[in-house]
Amino acid sequence: MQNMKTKINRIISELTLFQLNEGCTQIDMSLTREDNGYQINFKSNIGEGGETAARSLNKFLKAERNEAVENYYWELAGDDEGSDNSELQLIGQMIDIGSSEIIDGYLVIKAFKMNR
Amino acid sequence: MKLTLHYSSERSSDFVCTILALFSAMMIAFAFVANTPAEIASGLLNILRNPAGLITDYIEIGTIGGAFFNAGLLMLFSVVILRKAHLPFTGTSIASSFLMSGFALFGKNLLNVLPIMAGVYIYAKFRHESFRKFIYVAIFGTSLSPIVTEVGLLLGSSSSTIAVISAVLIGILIGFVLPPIAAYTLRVHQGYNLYNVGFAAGLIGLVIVSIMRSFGYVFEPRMQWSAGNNFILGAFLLAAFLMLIIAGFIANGKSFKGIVHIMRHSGRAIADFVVMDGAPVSIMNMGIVGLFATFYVIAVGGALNGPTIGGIFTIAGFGAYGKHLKNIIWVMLGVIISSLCMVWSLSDPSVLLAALFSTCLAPIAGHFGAIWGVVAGIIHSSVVLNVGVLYGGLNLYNNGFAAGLVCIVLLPLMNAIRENKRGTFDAKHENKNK
Repeated sequence: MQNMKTKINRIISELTLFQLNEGCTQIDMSLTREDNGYQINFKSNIGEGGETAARSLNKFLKAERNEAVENYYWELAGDDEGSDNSELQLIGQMIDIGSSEIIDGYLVIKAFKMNR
Repeated sequence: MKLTLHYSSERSSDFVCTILALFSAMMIAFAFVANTPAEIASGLLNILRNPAGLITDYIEIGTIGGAFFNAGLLMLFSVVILRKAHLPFTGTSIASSFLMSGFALFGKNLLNVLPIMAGVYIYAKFRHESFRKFIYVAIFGTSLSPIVTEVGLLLGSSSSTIAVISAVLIGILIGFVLPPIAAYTLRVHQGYNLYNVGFAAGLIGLVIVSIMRSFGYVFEPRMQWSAGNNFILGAFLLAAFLMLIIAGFIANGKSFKGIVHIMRHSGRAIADFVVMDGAPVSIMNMGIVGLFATFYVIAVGGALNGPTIGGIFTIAGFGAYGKHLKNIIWVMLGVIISSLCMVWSLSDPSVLLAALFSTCLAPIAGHFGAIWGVVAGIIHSSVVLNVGVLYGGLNLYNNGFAAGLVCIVLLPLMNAIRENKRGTFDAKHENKNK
C-alpha cells in the first residue's frame, strides 16, 4: 500500500489528539509491525466523562473500512487540533479492526490496519 | 449485495443503494412523463452535440425529458460502478451520485464524462492500485467534462476522427492529473470546502484554458437558461424529496428521532452522516434540505431549470455528507445580504446558483459560527461571479473553485482570531488561579 507508514503515523497522531482533547495527561502507546499489518494500542488516564468519550470513539472505530475514502481523504487525518472529531470517522474507515473501551479506569484503544 | 427497501444496520449499504437506484428510476420515468420517446431521443442528441460549459441548461437545449433522462442515466451509472466496486454505500456515495446527476442537467453527459473516468483508471493502474480506490475522485472529477466536449467540437469541423481522439485524450489527461492534485488541495482548505474537486479542477482548467487561449482560441460566454417550468419541475422535486423523507421516516422506526441531533456536526470533511447517524436519518435530512433549497429558489422568484435543480440536487446529496439546515442557512444568508447592497439581484441566474452552491462553505458556519458563515457567503458571492472567466466557464464546479479561494483567505484569519481568544481566555484563567 502506498504511503502506509505515513498513514500509520496519521492514525496515531489523530488518536493522540483525541486523547489530549479529552484531557488525558498520561498516554502510553505501542505500535507493532506484524506480518499482515500494524497493531496500534493506546492506554490513557481519561478521567471523568471517559465512558462517553470511549463509546463515541468506539462508534467511529467500528465504521466499515472504505479504501476509496481512505485514498482520497487520508491527508486530512492528524493534522490539526480541531475538536469536532471529523477525522475520527476517517480513521475508522482507514483501519480494519478498532475498539475503544474503559478498563480499570483507563481508556484502552486498539486499532489494526492490514497491509493491502 | 442485494437491493432492499427494508432497513437494518447490517444491510445499510443495500438500503442506500436501493434508494439511489429508485431515485434514478424516478428521474428516468419523469422524463417519459414530460416528453415522448422521440422528443427525448432528439433532446439527448442535442445535448451530446452542443457545448457544455457554464451556463448550458440541458432543459433548454434538450427538453425536460432529454435532460432528466440524461441525469437519471448518469446517476444510475454512478450507482452501478460504485456497486461493482463493492464499496460501502455511505454519505460519500450518495453525495457523488447526486452530484453526478445534478450536473448532468447542465453540462455532463455520458460521452464527455467517460474519458475523464478513463484517465483516473489509467492513473490507478500507473500507481499499481485498484481503480476502486479512486472511484470517488473519478465521479467527482467529471467537473471538467465540458472541456472534452469543447475540444471535440473545436476540431470536429476539420475531422471527426481527430476530434474524437483529441477529446478522448484531453479527457484522459485531465483524469490522470486530477487525483494527486485533488488530494493536495484538500490539505489547503482542510475540509472546509465540501467541493474540493471543484477547487482542484479549477486549477487544472485554468492551465488548460490558458494554453488554449495562447493558441488563439476564444471562449464564448454561454447563457442558456430555461424558465416557465416551475410547476412541473416543482411537483417533481416535491414528490422526490417527500419520498426521501418518508423512506427515511419509515426506516427510522416511523420516527423523526435524530433529525435535530444530526445538526450538531459542523459539516467539515469528512462528515459522513450515514456513518455517524445512520442511513434513515441522513436520508430524511436530504429530503429536508432538498425541499428547503427548492422553496428558496421559488421564494426569490427564480426559475427551476437544469442549473438550479443541479444546485438543489447537490444540496440534497450533501445532506448525507456535511450539509444540514443549521449550517447552510448562514452562508446563504451571506449571499442574500450581499444582494441588498451589491449590483446584482437574487434572481439573477449566476447569483441564484451562487446562493445554492455557496453551501459548500457550510462547514465554516458549522465550525466557526454563524457570523463567519455569513462573512464567507458575502465574500463567496462576489468571488464566484468573477472567477469563471479564468477557465472559460469550463469547470462546472465553479463555486468549488471560488470556495477554495475563500477558504485560503478566511481560514488563517479565523484560526488566528480563535487562537488569540483561546490564549486570552487561558491567560485570564491562569491569573485567576494564582
